[in-house]
Amino acid sequence: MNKYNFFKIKKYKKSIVIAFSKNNMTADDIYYDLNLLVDDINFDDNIWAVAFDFSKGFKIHNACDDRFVYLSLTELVMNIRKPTLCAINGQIINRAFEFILPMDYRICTQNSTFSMNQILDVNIQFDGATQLLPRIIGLNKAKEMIMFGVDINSEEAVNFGLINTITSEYKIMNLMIEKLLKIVDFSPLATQYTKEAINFGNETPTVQGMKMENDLSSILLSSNDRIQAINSFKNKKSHKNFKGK
Amino acid sequence: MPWEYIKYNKKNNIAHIELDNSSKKNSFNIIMREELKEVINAISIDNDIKVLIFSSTSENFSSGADLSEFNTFPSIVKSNQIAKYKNLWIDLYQFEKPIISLTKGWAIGSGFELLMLSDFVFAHTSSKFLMPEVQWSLIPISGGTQTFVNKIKDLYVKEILLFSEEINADKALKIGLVNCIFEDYSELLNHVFKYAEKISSIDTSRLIKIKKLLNFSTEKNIYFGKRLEEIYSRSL
Repeated sequence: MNKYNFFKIKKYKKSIVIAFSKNNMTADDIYYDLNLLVDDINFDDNIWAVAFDFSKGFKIHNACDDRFVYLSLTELVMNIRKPTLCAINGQIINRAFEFILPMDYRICTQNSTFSMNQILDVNIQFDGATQLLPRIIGLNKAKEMIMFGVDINSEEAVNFGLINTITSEYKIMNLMIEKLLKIVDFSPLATQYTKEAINFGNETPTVQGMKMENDLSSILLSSNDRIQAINSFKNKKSHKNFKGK
Repeated sequence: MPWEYIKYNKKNNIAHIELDNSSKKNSFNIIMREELKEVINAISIDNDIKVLIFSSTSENFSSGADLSEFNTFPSIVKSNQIAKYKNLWIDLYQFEKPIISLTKGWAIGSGFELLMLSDFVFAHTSSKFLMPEVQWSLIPISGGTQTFVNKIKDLYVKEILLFSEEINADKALKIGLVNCIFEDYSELLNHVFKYAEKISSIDTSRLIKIKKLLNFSTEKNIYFGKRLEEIYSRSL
């Protein structure tokens, strides 16, 4: 996986950790690489979960190339079918903030802060913040952050439901790897379908979503992973050896 | 009528269903689900009943689906049809009267999801909650991926469903999974019945409309919900 210009990829069991080769990236730098990477992640049966390492800080500048100004990075992240995690450190603003919103599990350090001040620059968000942030932290808090450029610290971020856990700068990567290894112990088919059903549930009437949940569950009925896991349960054994088939 | 896996009582406009399969930690088997479906359909058309309470007869609320029945289905297509069109959980989501659940000990899988289909959840401090599906290559099938999203923040939904994190009573209260917690079980029981009596003193048709409106608010089509609110408020 060294075909990327700006990403460094490390493998941990059935998961990968993606680090950016520089902290100040432009949107077009990221877009080229991420577009390729998302396809690789989705179609590689050996990748069951993905983590982004922003533990050295993370900033995204607007695209240099005009064609990329309005292209969505968050949409690319939303297209990742496998569970996504991120480790955050430092000041996360504007597009970098938007970038972390579609991720499934977010860990940050005590000195992380989050803000969106496009409105102060006579601009508005265009990469999903107005749609994603209210779903994550609730409408009132999202309006405060987006309409008034109010920034929040790590503790507030946990209280509002933006961040799962706070840890120190020294422990953040260990904690993220621990979470990654936990999720790759589960069946990858089950985690992908669960993620799909939860995200679908955000967009659809509940009864329709419940029927979709049933359909996904029926697809799983025929998987080897499920048959073997249930047989292990019947034999009173734990089952850790999922194959994703 | 005697039931094998549930106990049913009706008193002062309050229906009370107790899950009663303690030899299997109150897991839901096919018969229990059919019994529940039958009772719930009867309650929904019984004009005397204004509120429904769920609790359990044993020290745990429920350990979820009876996994020993898994892999015994004759056909995937048939099993999908039954799950989709004879779905107890959809009946519960669409149940018009208020549902109060009282939980203690473990609420796992479908047991946890039943709590999320309730309008109010009161918990004993011994309560623990877990969605273990991903550990067994399953996904929730009692509406969990949909109802959790309606009740708690997205981040916690994913912690619980994707990472299979265990939740204790304190955290459940903090993130909004339960309405309140009690240390003393008899006090909890007393509180729930008083709460149910209070609710049952309100006009049923008004309760049904308010519940429907609140559920609509989670259905994303805010303009339709707003219009319905206007129509309902005019008809009161």
